Amino acid sequence: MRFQLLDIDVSKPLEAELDASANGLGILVRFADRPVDFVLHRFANRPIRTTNELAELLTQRSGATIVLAALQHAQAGSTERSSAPSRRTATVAICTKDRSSLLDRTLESLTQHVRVPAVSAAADVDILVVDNRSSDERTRLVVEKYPAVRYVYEGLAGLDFARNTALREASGDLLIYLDDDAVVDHNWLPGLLESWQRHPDAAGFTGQVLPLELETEAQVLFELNGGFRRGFEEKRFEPSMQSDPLFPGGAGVFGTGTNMAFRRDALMALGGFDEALDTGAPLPGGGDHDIFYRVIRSGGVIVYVPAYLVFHEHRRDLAALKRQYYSWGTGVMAFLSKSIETDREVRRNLRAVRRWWFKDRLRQVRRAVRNHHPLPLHMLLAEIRGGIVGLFGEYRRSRKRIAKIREAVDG
Amino acid sequence: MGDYKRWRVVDIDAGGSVPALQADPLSQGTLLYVWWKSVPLGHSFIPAERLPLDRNAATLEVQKSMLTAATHYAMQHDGVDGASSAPSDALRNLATVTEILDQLADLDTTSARGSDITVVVCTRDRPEHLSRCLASLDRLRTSPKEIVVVDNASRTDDTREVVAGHANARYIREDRPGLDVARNTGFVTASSELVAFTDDDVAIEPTWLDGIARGFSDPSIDGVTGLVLAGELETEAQELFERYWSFNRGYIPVLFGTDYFEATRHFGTPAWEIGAGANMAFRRSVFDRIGGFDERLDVGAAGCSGDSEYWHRMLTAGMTIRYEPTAVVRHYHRRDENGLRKQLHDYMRGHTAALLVQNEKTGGHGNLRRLFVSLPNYYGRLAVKRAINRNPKRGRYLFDEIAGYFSGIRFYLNNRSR
Repeated sequence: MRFQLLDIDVSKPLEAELDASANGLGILVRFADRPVDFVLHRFANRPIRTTNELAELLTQRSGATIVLAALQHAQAGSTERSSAPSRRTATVAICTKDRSSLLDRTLESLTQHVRVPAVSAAADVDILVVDNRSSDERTRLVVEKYPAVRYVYEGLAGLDFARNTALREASGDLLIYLDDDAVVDHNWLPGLLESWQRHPDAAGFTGQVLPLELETEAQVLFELNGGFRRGFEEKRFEPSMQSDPLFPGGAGVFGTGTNMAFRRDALMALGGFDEALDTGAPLPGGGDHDIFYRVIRSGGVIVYVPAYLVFHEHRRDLAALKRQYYSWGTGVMAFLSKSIETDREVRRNLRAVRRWWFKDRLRQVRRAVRNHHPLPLHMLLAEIRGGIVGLFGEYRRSRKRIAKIREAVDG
Repeated sequence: MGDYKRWRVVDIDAGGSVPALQADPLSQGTLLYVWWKSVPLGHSFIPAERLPLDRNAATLEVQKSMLTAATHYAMQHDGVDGASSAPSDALRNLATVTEILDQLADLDTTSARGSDITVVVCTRDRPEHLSRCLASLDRLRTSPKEIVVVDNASRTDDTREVVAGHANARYIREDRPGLDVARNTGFVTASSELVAFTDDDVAIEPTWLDGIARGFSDPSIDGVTGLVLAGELETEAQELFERYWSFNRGYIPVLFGTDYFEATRHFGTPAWEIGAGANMAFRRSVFDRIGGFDERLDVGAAGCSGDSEYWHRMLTAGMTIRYEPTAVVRHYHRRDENGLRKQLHDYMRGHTAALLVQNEKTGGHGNLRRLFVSLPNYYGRLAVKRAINRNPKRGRYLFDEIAGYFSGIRFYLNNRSR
């Protein structure tokens, strides 16, 4: 199964070359270049073959959104521009391990879009690659192809070790993390910098993550289940939003680690990332939930910025996707269990989030049993299994593991 | 009651630059009416806790409240030659919505043929209201052929004097009391092709008749109703009326014709949702075909609903009414609570009497079904909610409404022979 991806700007005349063999469409809808909607459409009876049929689909699914975008675009012409921003500095950091060809693709897209006028006027940006104990030279060789990119090696294996290394090595006011399996949109950096200007007090920013391709069943199913999408409205998350019972423990709502940025001073004040999370194969998850959570708990503001957009290559095969779901289960539960132990004040909220998570997954299981769920049942069960493993002491085990990792390197 | 805070009523033109919305300690919030130049597109109740809103936040609020109507107008926009658009044209319309709204607001293309409309205002003992109404009629962008004020048995000469002060209004005295009697008097006296009715407690928008004319631009339309906004929300009675019994039927044009009638008659066509007597117009020929308003259903006599019974009769005769939101008036609801109670009582009274009249004239069981099944059901549930104190405001006048219900039935039975 595969869906064709389209990138359509509705403020221009509609043109698209439609692939007759696809099983569906994934359409990024833009208005005057700004992303405003994502329409995922599985062909039920008839595939969409003509631009007229495409137009009809967009009108039906995205009509009101397009009208709103048109209104906002018209208004933007007349609202006053804020005064010229003061120059800032930013570091883009990519933490990577043994994925040199993916890294190459990411660096290619990055260097294309970082030296453009829109960006250079607003900020000085440098790029850093943290090689997290890759097993050979290939990563370093790829980085050497890009003279503007700095290379740093981190010997302790674990994503959060690498993220903290980036924190230490970065020099910019803003530290922008990017995953090596993502490709940036041409407005990725201007979108982020513009939001930073509008929210100078924010401690962190998260961005939109859309699929880079929908070529395999695993990729399509994941995206049908929501993917990483968080909507197209900018959202500001503040500590005062306590009325939501899942806030802030349900930290997945803030965004995802694939595409996040922080003020470097805010991260330093928090002591960086928790290295017992995201320790690779044993516990590859939770680090982003944890940092979002701690930012909010310390009184910081997180802004979700849809224009700060990357395209992510989802797991291509079903087995890998299933492992991913398992690891999300362990990651989320490890983060929650850790927080329940360390953050007594909101313990009740966190426990409630934990209960909600299992209840929600069980609801999804029921739907899957009745065939009303995009994901196959075994994948949901894998996530729940991961959750249970994470629940029962995975975080503690992980701390022991990283202690050993440290010993191995120091000793 | 003394500590009631008003709602500020504010108009904003989304086609211009949207200002910030201030907080106001003397009000409990702002009722925002959103326009695109002269075209009404939506409203929003913004409580005080959300204010002030800076320009960006206010702009977003405005854009969201106008979204449904703007999308509708964009989707309905025809191609240049009037043919329905291809899907890619429809998509382009969505993207060019601001241009479409500009066209809609361009009155020079839909100007009223002024000589062909008579405006009828029926009034009784409310000279201050009438004065405000006539002043607003002076500001009409397109003049009607004539403005007729039907003085329905006022007890003093104040009404006559107010009309005398307006050169363009003609005074007619109707001694028989009853709103529908007065309306018929006005209807009969009109010599123009179109007759537009409004009430004395209304201030009309300068573009009112342009909107009415737009409604009649299709020759198959027999009647037009328009948008009724709240003129002010100074008292709790006014706020409650606007919240639960508002005359506002929305910002999107709707056709009420044979399709609508066939689809709804089974349960008693809810003809009151077609519009409000404070803002309605008809081709004079309708009067010739089906007669005038039913004089049994009168304020003071039975209540209101002379207007909805008339629309119902029009539908039965196969006619079509268009709800045209660009024909705009502002209605000043009763300020005091007793006035409101009486009004709600009278509405129910007129409503049940009208259902019985409709049943008498058109048969079928729909109207009776509504009267003896749906309404008791509705009020039964409301009574339960009130007993367990859910939504106390809506339930406050329950007894008055129910009393009106029975009163209407009694009234009809007593007056059947007429």
